[in-house]
Amino acid sequence: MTGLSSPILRASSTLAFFMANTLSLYLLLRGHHAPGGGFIAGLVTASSVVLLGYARGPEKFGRVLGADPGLIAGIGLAVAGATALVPILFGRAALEHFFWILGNNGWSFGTALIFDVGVFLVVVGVTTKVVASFAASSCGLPALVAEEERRYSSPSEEPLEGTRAN
Amino acid sequence: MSPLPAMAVLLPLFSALVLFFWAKPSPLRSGFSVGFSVAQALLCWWLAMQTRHGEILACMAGNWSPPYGIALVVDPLSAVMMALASSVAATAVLFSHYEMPAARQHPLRMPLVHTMMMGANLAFATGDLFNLFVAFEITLVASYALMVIESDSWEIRHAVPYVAINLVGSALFLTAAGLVYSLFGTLNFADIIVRSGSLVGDPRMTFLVIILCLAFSIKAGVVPLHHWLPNSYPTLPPACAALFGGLLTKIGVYAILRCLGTVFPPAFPGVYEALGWLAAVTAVVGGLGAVSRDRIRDILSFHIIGQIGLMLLPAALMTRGGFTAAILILWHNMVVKSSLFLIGGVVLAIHGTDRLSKIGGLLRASPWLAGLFAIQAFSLAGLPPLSGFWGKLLALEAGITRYEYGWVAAGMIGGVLTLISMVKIWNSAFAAASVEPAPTTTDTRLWKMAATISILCVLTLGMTVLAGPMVKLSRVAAAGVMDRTGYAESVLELVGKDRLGGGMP
Amino acid sequence: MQTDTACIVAALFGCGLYLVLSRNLVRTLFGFLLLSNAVNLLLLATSGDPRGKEAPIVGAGNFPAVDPLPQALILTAIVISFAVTAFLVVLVYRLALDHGTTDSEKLFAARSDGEENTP
Repeated sequence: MTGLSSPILRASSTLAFFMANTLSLYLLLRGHHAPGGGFIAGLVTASSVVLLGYARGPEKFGRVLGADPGLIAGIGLAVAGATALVPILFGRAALEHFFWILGNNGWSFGTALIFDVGVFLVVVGVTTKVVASFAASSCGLPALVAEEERRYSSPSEEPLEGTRAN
Repeated sequence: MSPLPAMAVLLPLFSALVLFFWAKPSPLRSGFSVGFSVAQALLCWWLAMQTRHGEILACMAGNWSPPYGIALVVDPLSAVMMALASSVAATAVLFSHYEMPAARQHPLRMPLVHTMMMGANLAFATGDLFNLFVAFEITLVASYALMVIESDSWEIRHAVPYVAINLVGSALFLTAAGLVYSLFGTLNFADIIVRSGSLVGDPRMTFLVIILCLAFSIKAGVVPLHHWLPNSYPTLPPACAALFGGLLTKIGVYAILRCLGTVFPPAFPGVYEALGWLAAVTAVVGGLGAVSRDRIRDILSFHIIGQIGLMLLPAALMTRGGFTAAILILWHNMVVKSSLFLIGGVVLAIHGTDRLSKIGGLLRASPWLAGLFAIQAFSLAGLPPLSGFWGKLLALEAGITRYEYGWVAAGMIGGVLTLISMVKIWNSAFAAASVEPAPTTTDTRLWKMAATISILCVLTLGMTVLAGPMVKLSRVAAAGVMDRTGYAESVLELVGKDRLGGGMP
Repeated sequence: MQTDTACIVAALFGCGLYLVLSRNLVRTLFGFLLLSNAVNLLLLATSGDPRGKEAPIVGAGNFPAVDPLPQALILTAIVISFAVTAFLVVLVYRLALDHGTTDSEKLFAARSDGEENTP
C-alpha cells in the first residue's frame, strides 16, 4: 500500500529534504546564542525524514536514513551522556559546559554544541522510529525491518502483523 | 562538590546504552549486565558509607545556581535507599540471568532494567522538584516497557490501567511542580525550604502539599488509588516483579517522606491526619486482599499495598520516632519484598504454576527454598527475632507516644493479616502434601536461582544481627530528613563559589 | 490574561479527566493528550503575565523579559508526553489488533479473573 506516493511527491521530496536540512543545520549551529538548538533542529530534520519516508512508501520507511533509527538515537544519547561524564573526569561538575571565542572574526565554539548534537540525534532517531513503525504496522507490514526484528525481539515472540492482523 | 551523586546516575545510563547496542543475548552480555549492576551497587554502598554520620553530599549540574541549576543531593536516607535499590536490582539481574537460557532472553530487558535503575537513582539523589518528576518518568517509562515486552495478548491488557493511572498521577505531579514554581519562584528543594518560611499558613501552600501527596500516593499505591497494582504486577516475569515490588512504590514513599519531612515546613496537621487514616485503611485493605488471593504473586502484590500503609502510618505522625520507624520498615521491605517475589519465581519454575491450590510439598522437595521463604516471610510479618520486628516495634512506640491508638490498631491488624497470608502460603505450598507430586527436577538452574535469593536473605539476616546499627542508621536518616536548615545550608553553600566555568545564559 | 488562561486550563483539565475516565481506550488516549496540554498551558502561565514584556532572548536588549524557565520545563514535559503518547498509541493499537475492541469492559470481561498466567 503506497497511498501517499505520487510522482510529484517523490520528485520533490528529495529537494525538500535537503532544503529542510539546511535550515536544520542553521538552527542547530545558532542554538547557543539565539532561538534554535538541538531539539528544534532535530524536529525539522525528523519531519523531513518522515516526508521522505512517506514518499518512498512504508516498505522502505524504516531504512530511509540508511541505518536503524534506534541506533542513531542510542548514539545521540551516548554523545549527550558523554558531555555529562567528561567534565567529571576532569574534576568539574557534571554537564558543565565551556565556551571559547575563536580569533576575532566573531566565531565561537561551546561544548554545549556537542550536547545539542546528541539531542539532535536522539530526536531524529526516536521520531523516525516511532513514525516508521506506525506507518509500516498500520499498512499490515511488520513494524520492524528484519534486522531490527532480530535485534530487538525475543526468539519466542512473533511479529503481530501478518499473523493475526487484518 | 562531590561527583559521586552524578556518577550514580551516569553509570547505569552507560551500562543501559552498552546493553542496548550489544543486543544479542549471550552469557557474556549477561555477565556484563551483572558486573555493571554490582559495580553500581558498590558505588551506592560507598555513598552510604560516606554519609552514615549524617553528612550531605551535594553537587550542582553544570555548576549553575538555582533556579537554573539542578542540585543532586545525597543524604543518609537517599544514600541507603540507593544502596538497597541497586543491591536488589543486581540480584534481580543475576536472577534473570539464571531464569532462562541466554538465547531465550529478551534483548531489551536488561537495557530497560538499567534505565529504570538510572531513574531510581536520580529520584533518590535529586534535590529539585521538577527533576524528581523527570526521574519518576524515566523509571515509569522503563517500567511500562518492561511490563509489555514479555507479556502475551491477555497479560498486556493489565498494562492499560497501570499506564493510565500513572499518566494521571504524572499530570498531577507536573501541575504541582508548576504551582510550586509560581508560588516560590524556584523548584530547588533548598530554595523552597528558605522561601517557605514566610508562607506558613498560606492556604495555597496547603493546596500544593495536598496535590503533591495525592500524586505520590498514586505512585505508591495508597488505597483508594491502589487498584492498578495488584492486577498488573502478577503479570510480570518474576525478576521484573521483584524489581518493581522492591523499587517503584518505594520511590513514591520516599518522595512523600522527602516532601513532608524536608521540603515543606511541618505545618499541615490536617494533611498528616488524612494521610494517616488513608495509610490505616491501606494497611488493612492490603492485608485483607492478600489473605483473599490464591496465587503467590497475587498475595505478594497485595502485600505491597499493605506494607505501604504500614510505612506511611508512622510517617504520618511527623515525629522523629515515626520517621525512624517508617524509614526502617521501608528499607527492610525493599529487600524482603523483592526476595519473596523471586522465591515465588522459583516456585513457578518448579511447578509451572504458583496457584496455592495446585502446589504443595515443597518443604520436602526443596528444603533450601523453604528455609529461604521462612526467613523472609516471617521477617516480613515481623516475628520477634527477625529484622522486620524492630521497625514494627519502633512504629508501635511512636504511635503510642502520640496517643494515636486508632492508627496503632490498624497497623496491628495489617501486621496480623500479613502473618496470616504468609502462613497461608507456607501451609499450602511448603508444608502440605502436594495435590500432584512435585516434579523432581535435577535442573541446576533452580539451585542457582535459590543461591541468588540467598544473597538477599543474607542481607535480611544481616539486618537482624546488626539490628542495633540499623536502627541507629535509620535514626540518623530520619534526623537528616527532618533537618531542614541543615539540608538547605549544605546545598546553598555550593552556590556562588567555583562558578567560573559555567556557560553564559 | 491570567484569568483567561486559568479558565482554559480548567476547561482542558475537565475535558481531559472526563475522557480519561471513559471506558473506551481511544478516548482515554485523547484524554491524556488534553491533560498534558492543560498542564503545559498551566506551566506557561506560571511565568507570569506577559503583557509589556519581551521574549527572553539574549542580545535583543529588551527588558523586562518573561521568565524563561517555565518554557524549559514545558519543553521537557512535551518530550516526556510525546514518548508516553507514542507508547500508549501502540498499546491501544495492539490491543485493538489482538482483541478486536478498545472497549475496556469487553476487554476485561473475556477471561476476567482466575486465568493462569504463562509460566
